Amino acid sequence: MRSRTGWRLAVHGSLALAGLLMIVPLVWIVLTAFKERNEVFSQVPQWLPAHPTFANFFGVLDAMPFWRYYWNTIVVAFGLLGLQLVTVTLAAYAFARMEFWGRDALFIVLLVQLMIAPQSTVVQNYITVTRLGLLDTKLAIMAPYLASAYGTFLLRQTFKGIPKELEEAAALDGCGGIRFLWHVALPLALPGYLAFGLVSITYHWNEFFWPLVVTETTNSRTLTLGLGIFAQTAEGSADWTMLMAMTLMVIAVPLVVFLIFQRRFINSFMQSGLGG
Amino acid sequence: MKQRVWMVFAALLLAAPAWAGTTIKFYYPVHLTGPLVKEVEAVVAEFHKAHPDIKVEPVWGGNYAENMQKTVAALQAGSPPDIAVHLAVDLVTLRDMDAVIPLDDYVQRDGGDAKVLGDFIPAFLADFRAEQKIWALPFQRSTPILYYNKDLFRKVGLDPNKPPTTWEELLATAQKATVRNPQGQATTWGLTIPDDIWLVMAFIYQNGGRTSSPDFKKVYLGETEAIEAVQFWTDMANKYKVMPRHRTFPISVQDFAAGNTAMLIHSTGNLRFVRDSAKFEWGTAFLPKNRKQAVAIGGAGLYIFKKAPKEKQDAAWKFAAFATSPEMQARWNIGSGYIATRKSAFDLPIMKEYTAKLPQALVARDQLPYALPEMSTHDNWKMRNVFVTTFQEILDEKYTPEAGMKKAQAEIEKILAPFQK
Repeated sequence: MRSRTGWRLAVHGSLALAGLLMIVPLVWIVLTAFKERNEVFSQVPQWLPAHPTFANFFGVLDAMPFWRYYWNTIVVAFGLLGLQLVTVTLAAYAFARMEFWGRDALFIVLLVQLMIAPQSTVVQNYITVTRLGLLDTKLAIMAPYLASAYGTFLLRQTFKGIPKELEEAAALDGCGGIRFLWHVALPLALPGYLAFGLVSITYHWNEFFWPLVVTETTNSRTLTLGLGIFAQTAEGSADWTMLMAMTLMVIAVPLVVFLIFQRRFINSFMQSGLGG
Repeated sequence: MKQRVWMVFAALLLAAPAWAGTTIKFYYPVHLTGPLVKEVEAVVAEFHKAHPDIKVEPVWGGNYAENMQKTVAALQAGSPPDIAVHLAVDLVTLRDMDAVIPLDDYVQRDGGDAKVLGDFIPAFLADFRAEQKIWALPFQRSTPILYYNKDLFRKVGLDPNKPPTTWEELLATAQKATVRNPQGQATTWGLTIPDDIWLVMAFIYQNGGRTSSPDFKKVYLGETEAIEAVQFWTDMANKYKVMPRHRTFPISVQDFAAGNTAMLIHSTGNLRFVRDSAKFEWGTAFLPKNRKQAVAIGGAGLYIFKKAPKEKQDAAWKFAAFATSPEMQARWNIGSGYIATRKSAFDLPIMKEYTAKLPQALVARDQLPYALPEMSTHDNWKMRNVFVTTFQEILDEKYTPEAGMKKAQAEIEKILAPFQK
């Protein structure tokens, strides 16, 4: 009994410590966002801003069409997820449940796509997007990702986990094919969808290089490009206070979404075997 | 899509006359501290006031490398910008792709070399020339200078008004200024230099050496002068331990602002950042000399693209001439820290006021007579990559300076082999 209490203490203690480590950068972002510029570089790091100021936030709003970029980012990240869910569901269902010639070979070809670094196809994709007349549109940012190999793979595994008997029973009741997918498979695969949604949103919320190449005006530019104005300075120093103020505003939406759905997200990751 | 429909709808409703002037697309990078985007947009806004018939669409393309990749992608898709800011060392690559036009016709049309180009600081034009033609107008140029912390100088008993002027003095000063803890680790460095080859070039030039040939087909990294320069650098880091081995450009300037290093060799482009961030008294000086006084020039110019239709090229030339005018260059210098590329810019009242408040800024200009073009070859990014990787391996003592530089020489010769005719 006593050893058990000790064990629990040790577990909770180390978890609390790990949690603290994880939260320090976030706290640092918040504190730096309210500092004045010359407070950032001091030999003894200062936790609290000496003269808390909102100037950095106004500076960000002044430096770019911030809300426009925010809107574009939301449209790109969530719009893309919506489109991906359609393609990924249909493809995953076919790979998991349907018999057709060359299925496994096709699936392997699809998986190979996971190994190609997106950067290596930038020029080809750029040419394609230009020929489609999509240059400098939000759709151009989404185009290369409309069919996600990762999502297809993840959902195929989830669909495979649904017992065959369930499908047979549903078919007996006249709920076969696409109706089975909609009424039975989809609700059961919800954890898989949540996991994929989280990964997709985070990736596209943060993506930098492809949007940089393929967009030109405020019509389609996203938040990461705005952040880049403060950070992408290979020769000089980053503008830390403004950068942190903007970072805080940029991560606000994903952060709030995550906090609301926290429990579901964690459950879904455990169930879809994506832990760690 | 929806937006386009709305726009057509609005256009029909208002029956507004279509845009009659010329629109040009302008790619530019921001490589330096702070929201310089605003400064570029200010130049564009001024231009619109002066030329209401031309509309410039500025497109921020990331840093130099990313902006270049953006242009290359656009070139391959057949839709390059009309005008863009790219590095002087990108000239070879842009010409190898047949992407840009020489500007001599425009120079002649507007009154000839003396009138159009005479006021530019000569060193800034030199590396935009190839085959007796001029290929870009110098827009944002910089050189390295020595920054030093006067408070830290005083603390260790050094004269705050006597920065080092030779290599020996540089080493001696750095030794004196390095503060170590009882374990012998440096707590304050005497000197910090980003381990970038732009600065290695300066040391090679100071040692009387050379880097690349004017026809961009040869490099001279295996020569004694180059090896000695690298030896001196590595000794400061590894033998005397007065400076850290590896520092990036951003980190090193932050170290200086935080008072972690007594001296810093860095781009003039950071004057503004140091001014805004340093809470101590600081000065600037020429880079110390050895056999001679020298630095390599960095930075970029305005290129006009071949694929653009004639009227867009004409408009682009007008914009290039405007953005490099003395007034605009003075403003750009004050806003960014890049050195104004026109001699007369320094005589303008706003510039006089600026340099009176920040006399450190004049050091950069006064050093320019000693400035040489940056090392540049065909396939420049590949060449740079080999050079910088090998140099960092030398710093890590994987190779001796001699073995490493000879290895880099051999590898670069292979890269350049296809261009030897």
